[in-house]
Amino acid sequence: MNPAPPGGACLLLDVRDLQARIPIEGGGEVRAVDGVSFSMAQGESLALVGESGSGKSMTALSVLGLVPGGRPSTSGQVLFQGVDLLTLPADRLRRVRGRGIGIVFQDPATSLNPVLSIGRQLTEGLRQHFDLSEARRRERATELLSIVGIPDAAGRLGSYPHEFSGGQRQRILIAMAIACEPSLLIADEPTTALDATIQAQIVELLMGLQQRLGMAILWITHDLALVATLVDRVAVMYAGSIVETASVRDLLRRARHPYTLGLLGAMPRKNARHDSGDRLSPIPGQPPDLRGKIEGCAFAPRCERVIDRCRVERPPLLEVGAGHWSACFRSEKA
Amino acid sequence: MSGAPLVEVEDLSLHFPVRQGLVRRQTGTVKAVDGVSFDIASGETLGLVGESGCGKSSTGRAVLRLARPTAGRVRFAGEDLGRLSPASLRSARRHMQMVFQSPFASLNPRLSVGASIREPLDVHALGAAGERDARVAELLSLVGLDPGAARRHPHEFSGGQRQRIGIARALATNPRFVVADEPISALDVSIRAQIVNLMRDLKDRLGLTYLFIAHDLAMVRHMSDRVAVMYLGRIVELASCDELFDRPLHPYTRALLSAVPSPDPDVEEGRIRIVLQGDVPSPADPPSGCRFRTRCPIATARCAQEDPPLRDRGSPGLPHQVACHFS
Repeated sequence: MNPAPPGGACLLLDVRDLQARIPIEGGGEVRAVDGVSFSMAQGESLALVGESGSGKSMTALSVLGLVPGGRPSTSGQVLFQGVDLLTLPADRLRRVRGRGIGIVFQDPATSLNPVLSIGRQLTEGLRQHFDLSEARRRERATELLSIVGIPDAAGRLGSYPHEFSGGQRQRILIAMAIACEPSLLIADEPTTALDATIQAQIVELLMGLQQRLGMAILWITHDLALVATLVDRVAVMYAGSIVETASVRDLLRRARHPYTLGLLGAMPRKNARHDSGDRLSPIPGQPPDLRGKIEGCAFAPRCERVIDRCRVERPPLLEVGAGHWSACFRSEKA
Repeated sequence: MSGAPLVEVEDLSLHFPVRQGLVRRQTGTVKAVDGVSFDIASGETLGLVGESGCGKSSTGRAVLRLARPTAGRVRFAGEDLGRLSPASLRSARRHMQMVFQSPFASLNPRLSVGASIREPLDVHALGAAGERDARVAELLSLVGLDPGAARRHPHEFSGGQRQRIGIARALATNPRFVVADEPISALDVSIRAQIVNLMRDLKDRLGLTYLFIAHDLAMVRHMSDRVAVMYLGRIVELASCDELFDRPLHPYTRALLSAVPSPDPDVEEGRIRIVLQGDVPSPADPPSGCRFRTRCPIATARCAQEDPPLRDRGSPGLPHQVACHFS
C-alpha cells in the first residue's frame, strides 16, 4: 500500500518501506525511520511535517544515503527515476546527489565553509558534475547568484560567508542546491532559523524557482501553518512513521488522525480574538522513546481515542477518502 | 487591564560599545534599545514582538536591570529602580523575575531540580529554612510536575518539563511581575500549547503581570492584552491586541503580520503577502530618520530626514500608538 500522487503522473521518487536504524553510543539503536512509504510526481511538492524526533529529516537524509551510520543503517527501497538509491554504487549515488537531487539545510550559518569564498563553493558542484571551463563556471556561478537575488552577483563571488546576512546565506545555499538544475530539491527546514520577514522572502524565492525550473520540492518542516501555502500534499510523521497523508486542503480541513488533530488544536487560530477565552488544546504527555520497539500505535499513550487494539497492533495507513490516508483504527468511522 | 501601571518604562536606552583592535578602543556603539517607553498595568500582559536583533530581549533585561540601562527610567510599583541602593534593588528583585528562552541552558545541570528552585528562597531568606522544601514541592505541583522531581537533575527532563521547572523557579519568590523571554521558542508545537496554557492559568491564579517577549505572532496574540512591535531598537507600534492585529498602521507591522502563514486554507488563500526587500540594517549603523525606511514600501524623502515620533493615532478610549509619518 503506497499512497501515491493523484492522477498516476510520472513518478519521480518512490519510497517503499524505508527504515533507518541509527546506532547510538554505548550500544543499541534508534528507530529513526520506521517503515515510511510515499511517492512524488515530477514537479510536485510534498511536505513531511512533524515535531523534533519524528523522523522527517532522517527520512530525507536516508534518501540521499546521508544518515549517521551510513547506508548500512537503512533498508527498504528509494526509487529515484526508477533506480534504487539504497543499492546504487557509491560513485553513481554521488552523481545523483547534487545533479539529480539538491538539498538545502536548515542552518545557513553552519552549512557553508567559512574559509572558502562563495564563488569557490558555488563552482564546486559544477566542477563535480560538468565539464566546463573555469570562466564558464564563474559565469554560471554569477548567474546562479542573481537568480537567487543576491545584488551585484559578479562582485560578490570573492566574498566569504561571514560577509552575508543569514537570509543571504540561505539564498547562496539555494543557489548551490539548484546549480545542476536537479529534478528534486529537498528543503530541510530552510526557513526555521530565519526571521518572519526573511522567511517570507525565502519561501517566495523557492516557489518561484520551482515554477521556473519545474523541479519537485520535498519540504521538511515542523510548521503546519507554513505548508498551506507551499505544497500540494502533506504527510504528517510521528515516531518515525507517516500517520496521515492527504492533499494540503484535506489535511488542514478534514484531518482524521488524532495526532494531526492534536497538532492543529495546539496552534492558535490566526483570527481568534484575543479575549475569546479559548484555551489551546495541547497534546498531553511526551513523544515516545525510539530506542526500543514500540508495540501497537506509537501515539496510543497520548491519544484520547485509544482502544485496546491500538496498544497491541500497529495500524496501517488506511484510505479514508480520495487520496487521504490515515494510520488509525478509529479514523475509518469519524 | 486593571489598576495603575505596575511597570513604567520611560525613554529607556541600552547601548553596547563596539571595541576593536589591540587596545580595545571603542569604534562604535550598538544601540540595542534606543528610547523605548511603555507602561504595563497590574495584571496585564504586554506582548513584545520583533525579529532577531530588534532589541526585544535587551529591553526585557534592561527593565529588570539585569543590564544597566544607558539612559531612561524604569519605575516598578512607583519606585525608580535606578535610584535604589544595590541592597534595595536586590530585595526588589524578588517581585520581578524572568523566564528564559532555553530550558537547556538556564538550569544548572549539576544542581538537583529542587536545589535550583530553592535557591531564590535561600537568597531572599523567604520562609523558615525547614519550610522551604515544602514550598519547592508546592511550586512543582503548581507547574504540573510531580513533587518527587525535586530530587532529579535537569537532564532527566524533556524540554517542556524543563521549561516548567524554569517557571517554578521564577515563581518561587512570589513575584508580581514576570518577564518571559521567548519561553516557548525552543519547544515543539504540541508542547508550546502546554506551556502557554500553564502561563495563562498561573497568571489568573496568582494575579501575575507579564512582559511576554516572542517572535511567534499567533502566540503573542493568544497571550497578550496589548502588543508592542519593535524594529531596530525602537517601538514602532503599540496598541491593544485585537486593534493591532485587525488594524495594523505601521508598514512594518503590516509586513510582519502578512508574513505569518495560517493553517486555515481559506484564510491562507485570501492572505495578501507583503514581502519586504532586503535585510534588517545593523543596529550599529541604523539609517537616518525613520529606521525602517530602507525596507519600507511607502518611504519618501522626508523619512530619511525626520525621525517619526511614536504618536497616538487611535480613537478616544482606544489608544493606538504608531511611529510613521504616513499612517
